[in-house]
Amino acid sequence: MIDKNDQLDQVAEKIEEIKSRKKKIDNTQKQKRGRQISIAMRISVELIVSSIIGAVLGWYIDKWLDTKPIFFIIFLILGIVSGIKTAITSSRQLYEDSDNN
Amino acid sequence: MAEKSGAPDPMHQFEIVELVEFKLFDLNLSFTNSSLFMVFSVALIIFLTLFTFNGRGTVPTRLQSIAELSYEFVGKMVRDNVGDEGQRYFPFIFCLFMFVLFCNMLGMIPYTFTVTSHIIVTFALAIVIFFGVTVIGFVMHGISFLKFFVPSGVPKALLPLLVVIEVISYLTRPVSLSVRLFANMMAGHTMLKVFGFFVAGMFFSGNLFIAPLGVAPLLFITAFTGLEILVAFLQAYVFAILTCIYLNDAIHMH
Repeated sequence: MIDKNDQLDQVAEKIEEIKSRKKKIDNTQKQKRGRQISIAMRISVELIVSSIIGAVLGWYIDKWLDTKPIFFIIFLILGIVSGIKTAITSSRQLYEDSDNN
Repeated sequence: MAEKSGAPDPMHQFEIVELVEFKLFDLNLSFTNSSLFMVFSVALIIFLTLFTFNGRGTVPTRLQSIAELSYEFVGKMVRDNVGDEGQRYFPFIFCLFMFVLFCNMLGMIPYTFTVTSHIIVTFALAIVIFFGVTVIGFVMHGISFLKFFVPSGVPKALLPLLVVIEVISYLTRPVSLSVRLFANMMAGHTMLKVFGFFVAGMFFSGNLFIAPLGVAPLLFITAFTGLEILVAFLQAYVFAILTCIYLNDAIHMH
């Protein structure tokens, strides 16, 4: 009877040990990682899309005002700048996230 | 078109087929295969969230714990990214996440149609989010929500330029949200089809040297299917979390 209890204790110890090994990546960190992936995705796509949006906007303003290439060029540059701006603010978010780990 | 030239067409899987034709004046409101799979995913979500609960039991059923897990998962996401004010919008985020997730996952089953591989579907979702978030911003902050477009602490001379940049980056949101989901889904499915054709083409080429080499794309496609399932989940997650981030911007401003 005593033997059996000892064995049970040993098994319990082993279970505890394995559990503590697994605790290293807890749930909040997983969520944080997901958030980081999302922000990275946001940066990569928004960098391209915002320049396209700028170009399209400029194209239509040109069509409207009949000033062929001027606004297209200006808004293309502004689009690229806004993409970089989004990248900067988002990467700041990433930095703050990783800061208080 | 593909059948005529004899070459298989990897884009054929994205074709819209009208199942029940219905035309209202100039509008084509037919019930298509796309609509069918939207109905499927909605029906599955309703089944999962309503009918899997065993009312009296203390131990949850398997499907019930899936439903509970997803509920808690999205709940935590909203709490972490928007804060307590965001709890009001939890039902919307939950619906959005589940809908995109189920559309993506249903698309992973062979011979099904992937709803989210069409940009018009994802763009419709994104534009609803865009207008919703903008309206929420104006309701919460009134006209001072326009300050969102005016960065603080910059010289006055630069202000018009920076406002234009802010507006462009705001307009980028719905497009980038929809393009990301659509591009990921479409690219993945096209890739699967292309490599599927490689496997079939090599195995049945009748050439003794080429036929065994067909194992290579087969191995690749097996691994890639796993990756695609991950992408299907991840894109639904990213879609939901970015909605949370946009919502957070509107509620808390800078």
